[in-house]
Amino acid sequence: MYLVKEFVGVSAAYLDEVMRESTDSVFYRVGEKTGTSLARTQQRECGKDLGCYLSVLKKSGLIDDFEVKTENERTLVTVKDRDVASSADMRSLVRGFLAGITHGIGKAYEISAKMEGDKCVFTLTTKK
Amino acid sequence: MRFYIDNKKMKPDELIANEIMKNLKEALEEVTGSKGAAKAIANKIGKNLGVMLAEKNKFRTMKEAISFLEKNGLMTVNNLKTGEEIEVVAKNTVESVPGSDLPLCWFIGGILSGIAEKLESETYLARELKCPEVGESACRFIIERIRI
Repeated sequence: MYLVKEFVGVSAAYLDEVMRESTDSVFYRVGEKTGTSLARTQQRECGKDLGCYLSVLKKSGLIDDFEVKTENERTLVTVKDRDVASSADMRSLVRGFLAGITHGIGKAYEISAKMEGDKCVFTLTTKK
Repeated sequence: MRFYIDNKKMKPDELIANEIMKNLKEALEEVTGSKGAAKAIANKIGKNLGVMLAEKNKFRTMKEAISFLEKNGLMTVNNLKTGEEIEVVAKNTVESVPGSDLPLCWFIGGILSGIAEKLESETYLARELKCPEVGESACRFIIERIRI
């Protein structure tokens, strides 16, 4: 499981303490680069299936569970994870990851995040 | 404390851990504008994680701690000698990035020194001497007790 969630949690806590500016952008960038890299290495296996890439994220231990739903021009990714729902840095990391993955598979989306209790819903809307 | 670390081919989920560590190092370097500052921050993050893991899992010995890190896929240890100086021979660290120009194991070094600090109630510092990314076949660390 690689202790990824613990690693991100401890990193976020320390950076929030020592950095003057917001750390959201740092974690967004980390997620985006990670997503881009995963899209590159897993493209043959996952193709354009977002759920396939997210299952790798789940297997690494970063997120507990997720659900992907497509409605008209938008895709809803529900991440069922208390840590993602409660931490701005974790949300930025996952939002960046989704941006990196979708960009890596040739899609352009606006991505927003909304907390719903213990879940976080990421809405991916096709860029016009 | 010495570490010898070899590269390996990664599984997709392991790649996530590896990429997050690598990309956080790069982001820290961009934000601080200094490799030295980024390394110091990464070491401190690793150390905080090491202390947290030691507290949470109530490690009594370094052997127990190493076994936990192995079970969680952070590294594979071939040899461990404890004493005044603890020597560890390790392969397959999750932090290894073949082909990177960055020295590695900033976090792993921190994690191990954090665990040593918690076990011994003394201050430890990790010093990275060699790594595959600068042409060496293995990574080598010295984790030293700092006498104040």
